[in-house]
Amino acid sequence: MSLFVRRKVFFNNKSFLEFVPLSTFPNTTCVKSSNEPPPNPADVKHDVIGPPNKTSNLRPVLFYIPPNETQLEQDFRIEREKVQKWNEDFWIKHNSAFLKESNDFRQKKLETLPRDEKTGLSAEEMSEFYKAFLDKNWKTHFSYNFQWYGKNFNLLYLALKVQISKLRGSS
Amino acid sequence: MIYLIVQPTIWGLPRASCRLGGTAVQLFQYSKAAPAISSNHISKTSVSSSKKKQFSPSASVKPATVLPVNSVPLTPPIVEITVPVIGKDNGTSSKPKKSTERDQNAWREYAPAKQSDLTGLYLKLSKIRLTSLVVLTTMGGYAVASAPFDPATFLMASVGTGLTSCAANAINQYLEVPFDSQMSRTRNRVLVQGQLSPLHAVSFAAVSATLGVSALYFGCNPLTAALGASNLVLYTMIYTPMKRVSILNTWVGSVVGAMPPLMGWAACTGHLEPAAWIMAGLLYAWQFPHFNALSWNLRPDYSRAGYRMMSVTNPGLCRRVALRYTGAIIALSCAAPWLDLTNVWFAIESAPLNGYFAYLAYQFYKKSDSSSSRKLFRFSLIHLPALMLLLLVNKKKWFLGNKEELKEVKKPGLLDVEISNVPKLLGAGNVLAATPNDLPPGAQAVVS
Repeated sequence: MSLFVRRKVFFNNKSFLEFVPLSTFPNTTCVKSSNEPPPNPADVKHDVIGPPNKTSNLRPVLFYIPPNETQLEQDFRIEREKVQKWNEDFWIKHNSAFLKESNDFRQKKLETLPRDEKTGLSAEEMSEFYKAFLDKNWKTHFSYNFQWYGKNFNLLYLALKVQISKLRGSS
Repeated sequence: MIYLIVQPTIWGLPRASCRLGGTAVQLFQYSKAAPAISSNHISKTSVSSSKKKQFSPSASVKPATVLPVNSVPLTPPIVEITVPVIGKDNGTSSKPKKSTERDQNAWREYAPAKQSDLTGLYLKLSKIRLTSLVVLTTMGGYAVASAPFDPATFLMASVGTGLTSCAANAINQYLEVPFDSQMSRTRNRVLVQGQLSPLHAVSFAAVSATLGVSALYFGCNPLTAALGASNLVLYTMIYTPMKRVSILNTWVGSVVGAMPPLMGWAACTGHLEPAAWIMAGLLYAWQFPHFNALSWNLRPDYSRAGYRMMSVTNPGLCRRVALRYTGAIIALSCAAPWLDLTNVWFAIESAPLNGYFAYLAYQFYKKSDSSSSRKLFRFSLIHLPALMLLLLVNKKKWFLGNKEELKEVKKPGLLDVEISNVPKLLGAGNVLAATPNDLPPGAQAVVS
């Protein structure tokens, strides 16, 4: 797998963001970005949310299991875990595909250019890929979108049920 | 409240100034704190390492993918790299770390919702800047309407529209969490960050929608309330999913943007006279050069997150439409005196403003790049408030509570369209919805 790095460069008094292969920096020390590890579940008494996953960009939530968890609460928690996993899987797959395909596109495009112009592709040239990627994934996006809405509404409904039962219990 | 006043956004010069500020700060930080990232150093790095691999120095200096600074791509760096500092650099190789960055990477309690933070979170959830802009256009619509000014109705129209907008934005965020997580522009939203639970956000939306629509219904009139409610539905149930389904989303989004001045007008007169559609039309048309220019630099983001924006799927159309609608703005500005909304001076005074807007759109049309699109986008932020101001200053008739005059002016409701048809009418043709040509055939007859 080829790694790419985003960086800001200054060129002709303008700054740009560019993607460069990691191999451009052979002397580089490469540090996996060190996020705080998740807390020990035994120590926390509530749900916790972590930093975004580097590929899916989603923030993972660890769900606290109270000792006297009711059936409703358990259903809700398990459903949330399921949906979280489902979202995570989709975006990891999707974002990796985007990265890989955009790199392939770039490589291919660069090969066709004459040697002295092998300096990189502009956003204009990449726009061809952006369009192709969107068009290719239309069905995927469409079905993901509405499946997500369904799951999200279901979670809302479960959350409401839990909330109501809590209110009843406390009164 | 102070927040509202201090924020420049509300006065319509919003994102440009914020963006400018943000960019300046970023550049400063990068140039000062992270010299190792600048291009000279990188070329040096690769030169020094050329024994291992053949690297042409120019290849590493010239960007592999040149993207304008403002379009920060959504992906975080896959790996964080530390480029070794070369030689006599003053040793500051560490990347600039904002104090919030560590909080971003920490594990914290999910949706704690402490009472003290709630106000701030609710303001973020309602996208308060956008909501303020919406309220301003409603106020504008009310102010230019041809009926006496009534402070109570005016207040209720503003509050009602504001609350409805808060609700719309909260629901939008509830629906968009995984998508918002993907883009740097949106990943700080409260639900993405887990600062509020979805149920909490939706409850907030339900309460403000109820209050907002009630304020419009009881404080103004049923027409205004119906417009408000249909705009809420249009935004959350049609526009939001449509972003990933069809390129038409920009037209629908423009209708959403054009509704607030109509609501203001309807709150004032109780009807939608032809002149009401001028201001709505201006707002509708304005969205295209504004948004198309903005979205031009966000193409990588939209592509990956699945947003079917014109700038990605049909760049040619994106440029043409931006230019076309600046022409529509000129036409509408000239139609304003003709429909008795303003005096003739408005057409003359707005000509240079609209002309320059059209000129920038033409530049963008001719050569679309990050520079021309940014110029167009920035000017759009000045253009709209300036045009609204001119409209207000040149208003033809001021009604200072003179009921006699009102009766004289009040023609039969020229455009008493069935409310249920309004969104359909606006969205249907995907053409400039609010020009007089698009009025239903019956209405034309009444005008003449």
